[in-house]
Amino acid sequence: MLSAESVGLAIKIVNGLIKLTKRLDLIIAEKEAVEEPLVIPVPDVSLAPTQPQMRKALRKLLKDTKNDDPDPLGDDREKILKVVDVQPQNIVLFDFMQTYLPEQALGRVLSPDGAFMTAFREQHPDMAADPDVRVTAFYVGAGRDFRNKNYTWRIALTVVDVLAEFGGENMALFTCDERVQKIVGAILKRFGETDVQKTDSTRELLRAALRATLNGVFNAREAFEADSKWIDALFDALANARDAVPVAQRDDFLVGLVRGEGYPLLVGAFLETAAGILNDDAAEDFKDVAAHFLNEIAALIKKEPTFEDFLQDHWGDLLRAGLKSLAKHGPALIEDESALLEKVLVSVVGELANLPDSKFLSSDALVGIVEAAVGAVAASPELIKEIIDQKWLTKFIESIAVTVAGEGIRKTFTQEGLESLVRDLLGTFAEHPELIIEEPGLTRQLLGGVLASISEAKTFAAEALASAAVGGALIALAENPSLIKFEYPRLVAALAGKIGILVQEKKLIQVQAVDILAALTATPAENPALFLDVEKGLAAWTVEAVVAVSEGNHGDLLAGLTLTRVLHEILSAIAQSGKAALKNHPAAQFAEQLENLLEAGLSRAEKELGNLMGLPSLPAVLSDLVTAWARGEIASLDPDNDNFRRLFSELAESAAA
Amino acid sequence: MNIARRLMPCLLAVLLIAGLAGCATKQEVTHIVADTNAAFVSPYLEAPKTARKGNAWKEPVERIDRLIAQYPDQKKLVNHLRVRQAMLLTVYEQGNLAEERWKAVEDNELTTERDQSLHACWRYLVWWYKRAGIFDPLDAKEMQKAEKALSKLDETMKNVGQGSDIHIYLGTIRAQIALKIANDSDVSTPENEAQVQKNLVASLEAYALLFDQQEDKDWIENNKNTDGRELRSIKDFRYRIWLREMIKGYKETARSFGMQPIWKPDWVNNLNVD
Repeated sequence: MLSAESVGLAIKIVNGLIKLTKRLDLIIAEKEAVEEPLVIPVPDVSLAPTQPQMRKALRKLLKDTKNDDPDPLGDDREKILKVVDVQPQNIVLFDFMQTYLPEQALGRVLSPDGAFMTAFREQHPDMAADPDVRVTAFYVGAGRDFRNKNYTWRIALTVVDVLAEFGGENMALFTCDERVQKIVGAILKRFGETDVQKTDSTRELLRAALRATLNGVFNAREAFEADSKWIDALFDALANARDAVPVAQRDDFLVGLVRGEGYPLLVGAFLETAAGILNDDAAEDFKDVAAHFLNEIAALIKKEPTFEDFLQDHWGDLLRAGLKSLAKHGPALIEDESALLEKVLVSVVGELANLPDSKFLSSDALVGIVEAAVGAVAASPELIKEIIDQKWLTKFIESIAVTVAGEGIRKTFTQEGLESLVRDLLGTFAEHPELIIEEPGLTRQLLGGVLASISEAKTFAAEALASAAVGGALIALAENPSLIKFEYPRLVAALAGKIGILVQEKKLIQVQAVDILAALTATPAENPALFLDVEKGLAAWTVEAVVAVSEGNHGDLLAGLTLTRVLHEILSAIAQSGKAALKNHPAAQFAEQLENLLEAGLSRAEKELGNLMGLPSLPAVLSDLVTAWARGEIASLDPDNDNFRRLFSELAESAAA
Repeated sequence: MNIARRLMPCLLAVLLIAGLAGCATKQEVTHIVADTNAAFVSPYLEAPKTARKGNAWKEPVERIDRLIAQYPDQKKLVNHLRVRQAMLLTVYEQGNLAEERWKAVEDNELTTERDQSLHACWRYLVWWYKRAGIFDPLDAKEMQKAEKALSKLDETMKNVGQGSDIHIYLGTIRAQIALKIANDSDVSTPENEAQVQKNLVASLEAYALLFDQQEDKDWIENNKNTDGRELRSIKDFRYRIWLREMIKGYKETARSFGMQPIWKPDWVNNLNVD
């Protein structure tokens, strides 16, 4: 026995099925009417005798009947004479032909299909006997259908439409989760109001919106609460934006937005961010921001039609970034009438439209740009005018776009690698907006510089080196923003390029190079004035000297991680006493003398290992040796010199202690 | 699971009923398509020249009217069926009825190149199907109409796929009208005669170029319709016979004028169709 619940369910399913079969029936019937061949015979053409034939025939008639009595032509003889010889008129000639020469007046019949049937019957009697086969010979196919969608597609969409409609009415059949029901109900309410059967664009819209929203809902189902004010705000903003454009363009505009890749992520972000972190009171304000932003987009598309594809794909990213920024910096961004968030979003999209390289920016990069720009605004709201000022934003966005668009860079680095670097970089900017408030072109200086110099080195380890250099530099910058003043990005780029060349020449292996870069990027922070201002070559010379020694007679001692540690310690020593070193040792001979010193130190170390010192203390001993040398305390660089030997022993004992 | 198991027999029954009831329109359209197609070709089921155009059009035309009355909102369905109906009436030379149906077609609802092209040329098709079978030479007014028909056909053919069925069909109608114009022309002055000869050559060349210049040409040159193994498709067979008949018709008309033009392309000139 069926329960009442089961019967109710069955009735709903039956209703849905009947609706579906009716619609499918009409579509398939239309398909038959549109696509089935039409049998069209061509007419037989009856051709009268030509003018010369008629004149000839009538002349002969005149001649043949000349002596007949009574004259069979009677009064017509004169008329025929005139029309034949003086003023030939085909209609008149033909009338006389019909009257006096009716058999000849019949002329000939051109019968293409008659000739075909005759030949067909004669040559292919078996086939010609079959009426169905005969009919196929006369087929005129329907040819191209000028609509974009074929019937298979339309049938599939109809199934989706009916399911959507069915689902809207009976959402409980699909899911018992009330939250999902509410959200799907919300989108159906706003997008499904029009008759989805009528226009291709609305049907597409509903399909795309449903699919994307449902995916978003399910991906973020753990995060959102039953109350869907935020999702309502999003759909209301979309509906408001649609209503703001001219009626004829509404569907196209909205279809474009919903089809873009950013939309599913946007829904997910709304559910995850808004429901989890934000206060519901802010939803209404955000709706206004989003609607204004979408209206700006519509206006921009009208002005810059070539920008449409980009916007369709990325508007969701920009809005999503706005939401994330809101979660981070609080409702102050949207509260008053001059909402800061809206200003940033609109300004960013305006900048992107003017920038040819913006097409290279990924979704992550766009989110990062908005977050960083909003971060800067939030950090210094009083600077809003200045920050939103075209030049600041232009410089900031251009700095990123130009970097990722560089041809040499795109050849050397993978898309994923580049995106990852940009994401990390912008993430740091969002955390430390002070870096870009002062220097909005920092991306180009740092990331662009590093990537360009590593690209030139043409090493297979490019991505790992870039990541180490940029990552290390960002940490250093975050800890010490004043480094920017000392052209720190340029130094990092130069060192990254140098290390890249050493890897390419196989003087360093990738692991060593990555560690060294990390050490190098951190060291200038210990004494930025020295490394970045007083003598910009100091770090590079130090690296040069250490690497050269590692390839020399005692290079075995600097194998593996020891090399990195030694370099790190020596750089620290130089940071502490580099000024003195430069005073005591001419810049032109700095690297050479340092190399000789380290060579002598390693020669001694080789002899003292196992006596006065162990390998772990080598970096410290060499570092102290460099400090002594920098201060001018070493006169001879001969490892067998008594003074040098004594000093080294003291340093080794001290390190061991 | 239990609910699904209990519902299954009901659902199957409903599916069966819905399936049967749900394809009623499709079945009706299928019948209409089959009936109209049979009616179109009905005169040719008899031996040629004994064929007479009867009343085979009546039943399908009424059937289409009934279906259209049932689904006035199904614009695509209605308008494509209207084209079918109007074309049937055109072929059966039912001028007034055909005109009435053609006028009822909303051209923006037609989506295929065949139906759009037929609708674009309908006034000339209605005229030509009625006029083609009459021996009387074209009078001055008809000559004007025929010239306009050629222009319209040329314009329409530009928008359809080269070598498609509708392209060859419209090209054939064009070649027929052009031949009739030439055949009925006044050649009493040398200038007129030269112009008629030029038009004959140009029209036949345009027609010949609708066909495959290798396979169709070889077939016609070698008169392979006597060899059943060469039959590529019945439709191609029909088109090749058309081309051969048209070449014959043009050459015969030129001969009756006493003209000896150089036909184009070369293979048409060299072809002996007698």
